[in-house]
Amino acid sequence: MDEVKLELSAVDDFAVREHRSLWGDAWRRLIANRTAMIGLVVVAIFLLSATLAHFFWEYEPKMDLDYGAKLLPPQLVATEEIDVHLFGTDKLGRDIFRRTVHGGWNSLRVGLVAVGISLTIGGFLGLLAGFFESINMNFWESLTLMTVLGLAMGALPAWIARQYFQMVLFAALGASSVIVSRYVEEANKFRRFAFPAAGALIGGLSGWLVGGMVALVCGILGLIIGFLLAKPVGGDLFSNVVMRVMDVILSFPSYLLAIAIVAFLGPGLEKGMIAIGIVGIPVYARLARSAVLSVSKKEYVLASQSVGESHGRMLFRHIVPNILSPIIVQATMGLASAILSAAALGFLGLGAIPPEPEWGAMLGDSYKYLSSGAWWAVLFPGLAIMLSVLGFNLLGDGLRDALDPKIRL
Amino acid sequence: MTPPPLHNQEREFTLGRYILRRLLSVIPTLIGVTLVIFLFQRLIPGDPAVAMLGERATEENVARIREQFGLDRPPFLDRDALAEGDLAGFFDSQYTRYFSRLIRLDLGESIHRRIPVAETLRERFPATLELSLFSMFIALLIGIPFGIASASRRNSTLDGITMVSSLIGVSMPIFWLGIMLIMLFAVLLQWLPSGGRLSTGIEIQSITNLLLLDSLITWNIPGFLDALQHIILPGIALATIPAAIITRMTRSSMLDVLQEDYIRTASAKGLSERIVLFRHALKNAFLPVITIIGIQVGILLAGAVLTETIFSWPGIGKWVYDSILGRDYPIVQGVTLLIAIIFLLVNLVVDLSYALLDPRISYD
Amino acid sequence: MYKKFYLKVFALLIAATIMLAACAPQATPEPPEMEETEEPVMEETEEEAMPEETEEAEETEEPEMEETEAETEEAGDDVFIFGRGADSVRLDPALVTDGESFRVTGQVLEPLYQYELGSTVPIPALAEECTPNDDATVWTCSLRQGVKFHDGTDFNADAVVFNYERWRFTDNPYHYESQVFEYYEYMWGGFDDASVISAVTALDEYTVEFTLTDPLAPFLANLAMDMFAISSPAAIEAAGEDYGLPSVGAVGTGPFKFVSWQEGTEIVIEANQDYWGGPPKVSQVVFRVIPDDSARFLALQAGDIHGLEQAVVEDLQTAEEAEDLYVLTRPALNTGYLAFNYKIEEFNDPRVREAVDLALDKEGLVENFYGDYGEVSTNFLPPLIWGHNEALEDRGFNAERARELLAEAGFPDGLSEVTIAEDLTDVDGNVLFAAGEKVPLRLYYMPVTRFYYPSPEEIGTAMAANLFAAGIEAELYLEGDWPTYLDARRNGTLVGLYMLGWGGDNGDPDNFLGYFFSGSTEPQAREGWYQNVELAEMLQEAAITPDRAERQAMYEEAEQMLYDDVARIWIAHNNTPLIFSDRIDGYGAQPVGADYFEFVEFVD
Repeated sequence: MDEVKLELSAVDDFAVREHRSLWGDAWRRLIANRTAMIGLVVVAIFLLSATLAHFFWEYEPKMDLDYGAKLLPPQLVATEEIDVHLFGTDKLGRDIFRRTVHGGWNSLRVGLVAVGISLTIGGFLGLLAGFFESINMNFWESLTLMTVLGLAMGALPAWIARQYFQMVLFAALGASSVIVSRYVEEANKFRRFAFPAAGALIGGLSGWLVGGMVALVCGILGLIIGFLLAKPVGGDLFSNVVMRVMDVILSFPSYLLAIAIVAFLGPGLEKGMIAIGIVGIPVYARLARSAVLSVSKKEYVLASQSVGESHGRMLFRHIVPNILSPIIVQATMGLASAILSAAALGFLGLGAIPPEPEWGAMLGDSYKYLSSGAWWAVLFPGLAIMLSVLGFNLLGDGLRDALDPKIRL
Repeated sequence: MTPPPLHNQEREFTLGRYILRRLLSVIPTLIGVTLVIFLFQRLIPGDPAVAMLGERATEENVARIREQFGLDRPPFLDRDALAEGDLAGFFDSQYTRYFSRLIRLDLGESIHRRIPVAETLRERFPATLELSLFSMFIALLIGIPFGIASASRRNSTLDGITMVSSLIGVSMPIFWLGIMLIMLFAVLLQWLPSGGRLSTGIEIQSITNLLLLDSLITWNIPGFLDALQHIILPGIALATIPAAIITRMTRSSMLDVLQEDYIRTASAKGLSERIVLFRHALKNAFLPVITIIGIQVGILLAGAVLTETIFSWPGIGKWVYDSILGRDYPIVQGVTLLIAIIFLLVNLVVDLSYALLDPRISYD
Repeated sequence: MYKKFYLKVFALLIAATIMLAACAPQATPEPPEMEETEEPVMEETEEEAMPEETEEAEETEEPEMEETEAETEEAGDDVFIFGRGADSVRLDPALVTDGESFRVTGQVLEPLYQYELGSTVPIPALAEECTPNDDATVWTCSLRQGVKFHDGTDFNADAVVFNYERWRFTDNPYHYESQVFEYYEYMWGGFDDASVISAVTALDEYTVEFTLTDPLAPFLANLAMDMFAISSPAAIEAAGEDYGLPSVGAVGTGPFKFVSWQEGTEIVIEANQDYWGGPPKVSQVVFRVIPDDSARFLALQAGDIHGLEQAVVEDLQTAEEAEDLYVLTRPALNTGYLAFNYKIEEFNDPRVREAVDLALDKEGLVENFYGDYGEVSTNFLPPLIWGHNEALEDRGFNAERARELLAEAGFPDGLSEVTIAEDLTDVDGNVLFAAGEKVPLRLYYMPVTRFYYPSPEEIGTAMAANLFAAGIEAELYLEGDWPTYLDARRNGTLVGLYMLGWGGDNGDPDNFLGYFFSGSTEPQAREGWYQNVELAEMLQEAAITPDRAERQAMYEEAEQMLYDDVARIWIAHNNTPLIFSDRIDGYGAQPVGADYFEFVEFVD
């Protein structure tokens, strides 16, 4: 008896060790990585300086104009005529150092918000797509999907006939399809005729309110919609459609798409954020989907499914935490490219509205003075872009190494 | 459960089917692309007629041009016509007109200049293609050797320098680099021209309109050298980012592979470093690199607006940007469609090469 | 091992580059002197490292330079290469409105009259003389004899009739549906029966008679416009709808003949040895497209081109100081302005308008953004056009006085928000801004550079800063890109102060004042809803008065009216700078119409 006890306590001691989580490990690896730390420091410097400057360093760009000080090279020491200008001045006599620091607030914000948009929307879509591809939808999810589908498809005949209440009817049709499959057995024959008929009826009658031709066209459309709604759509199809839409967005060259979106929304920093955000959605969608697919094949997910865990719980406890690492890495790199895109838009004059400082716009304004020798107006904003992007890239690299458990150090 | 690997004959059969399936799936995507372009047309304010006529536009002229180009028709479907019982009029919209021309491979004419889009495309696209291929060539020339070298000498000085340079490469704004290159090589040193594709007075017979190729085919050496002189600076500027990415990708992919057991086995067996690297590691490391190459080619082909502007390179990038600003819809539609097709094809090729190179991958 | 491989490749690349630069033929030889003059300019501006490198490069370059120069001497020494910012749209001048098209057609085609070198006075060209009858409704023109088109066909009265009828009659077989003859409509009033020219008849082989419905004072000036240049009827018949496209070009009687057009890149024209005015001095002219201002200037410095138009102000200064470059200006026939939208209540008070005028530092704007090449406007008409009122003076730059005026007008704390006076609707009738609504005061700036505003974004920013200092807090606003901006202006929906400008087409004051204000008996959307009945009526009359002295008085009066009313703020006239290599001489820069290239020659 005593011997056994001794063994047990030895086991106890052994088991009570410091709890090392995945994140803790990752953090430790990150800190050990020198280049990643450099990246972190650089990023921190930029973020801090931008934020502190925005809140504490007064700057009213609208009043900033001094012809006398135009295009001065960097002055480190003040003379009687000229003030200190660390980075020199631009064409309107504005101090470039001050504008660069304040510009960080705008340029970095665009990157952050744009990536935020891409991540949330794209990540969410990809998550759902991947999830429903591996795991069958339960009743409520199916119901929501079919209702929304009905609503969306019904928009076409509704628009043609200008009778928008149709959309609700079609939504109801979609919902009923799910209800029918769940509660009514052996309904195939009934389904194949009833649904198209119901659809044709809805479309045709609503169209009749406008005219004969309209009724015909809407009736036919309704027939098709009914046919499509007859059987509840599977997760596979949902995922396929979402990914196709992502493909369509991806087939556009990103800069063209961004320019087109800005042309539509109008100029301004916020619109630029949205444009770059939208362009980035497919990347995160694809990433999230493939991550979800590989995670959902793992045993713990299958286990939780067989135990009957709710989808929500499965998503948040098992899937999301495990797909976070590739997404975080992508986000950090994505920040870098978002900042570059913002700079490109600013360079083309589509970014911040003057006189708000923004790195790309500063480059765009001043690069025509390069041929006459004013290198400082172009060098410093360019450097700011480069270094901040570099910082994010280094950090992203480090994160990737840290979060990938396979790499031996 | 993954199905067991197929025998070669079976693979070919399924491969054929896979290709067919992929090609077919391109079609709905393309239709989607055309729809999106049309959607934008509707949403973006501004009128091509006004853009064309400028400060002197009058109401009548604007209306006339709009009618000429069918811009007075609704974009997708004419529901008002349908309400009046006109079924044919219902379908007569900008989109249907566009689509029916497209089926007949007619891309329409530029609104501003009345030149068929296809004609200008045939002239301008090879310029972008040539520049992209040349840049890709330089990028590969730099990226792959450096990637391999720094992977095999991890954490050495070479590795450090390579990593830093490649990081700088992905972080640098291209337009800035372009101007600096012009200032240095064209103005200061006067070694290279400052822009354009060819010097005045040099003629190269146009077969494919890829000047380097054409001049070689017709054995026009002075022409070849002139074209080469003109393509170097923009080529280098454009190649920076792909070179950096390829370097990093090659390096990380090689690193992954070099850690695999079969490499250690090969090393342990006493094979020279060279054989280990080239015969065993490279093949397997290449897969992700090919994906990246595919993506980069696609990006390059989309035309680098800024590079083309700075170097006055007559490609499709700046052309399509100006067309967006000038609301010259047929051009935007034509070019975007072309680019979309290329992207999709490139993706297909990349996926295929994946499938071909890795026998473990199944076609799902 | 790889290191070696690597270094070898790199070395090879560098070697190849050097070889290329040395051995490849350069059609435009670079004289060795250029490098020496480059050095002093560069040394001031580049870092220390540079000079040493260039010295080395010079040594290796020089011997090779001489070789290439000798090789290519015959080949291209008299090919004049001109760099421009955009390509021509089409080489049929009747169909286009862009200056780049006229730049080329002006050399290949000629109208009946032309503008005298350096001025806006019309002098005979293809017509030897055009005389009016007593009430100026019939003009008889005797044409130059023995002139041939570039395709060999004769120039005669029939050709003139052919061209004018093509433009005028919508049912003419060569007046295609798809084509917009915008300038014909605009200068001659309309097509078919709406045209002021009611008949063009060939009296004999070399005499043409123009019959007008009303006396048209600027008749000769209109005849001299580039848009009404005479093309060969045979060429138009042969090409049909394609006349003017890159594959066809233009066929006329001018000093140069069309050779080729590579779309987006360059147009080549060659000397017409049989030109009636004597052959040009250069053998070919190449118009090359270099969209970017800086790149264009760099190309000039590098010797790739010999002349260019429009450069950044700082580059102009560099050019002035450079020994191998010189600057010519094209005397201004344009005006940039800042307009009020009169549907804003506050702008209807003349004191507010005057305050805005006083708040702007126009001298500062001109000095910093136009360099030595601009002048502050006091009139809408540039000084070169008769009718310009010399007596008017700029009100000056006085922020204090501006504040006082604002206070008098009821804005002691300055102006930052404005009230809409009447509903502003868009084309479809939707109300964009309702009456009584308060909106922030906006200053709309242009998204593109135009010849009247060399750098609109910066000028706009500077103007806003000026206004801010006087208590007028205007927010800069970009309405969209150029087409959107123009659209909004046409519909009068630019709610605030907006920048725009105008360039003259024929040197006649009606082309400025008439076009803008003769319709202002009613508030016009496109002119910011400005209304001034007295002004409109006077301008309408001036357009049909044949006596020049009378017209002049009327236009000067019109300018006085605009000045007193502070109707609009005229900012500056831009004398467009042209920069040339000092190897070139004889370029004839014209204030209106195409420049004279036939006297250009290489002087080295």
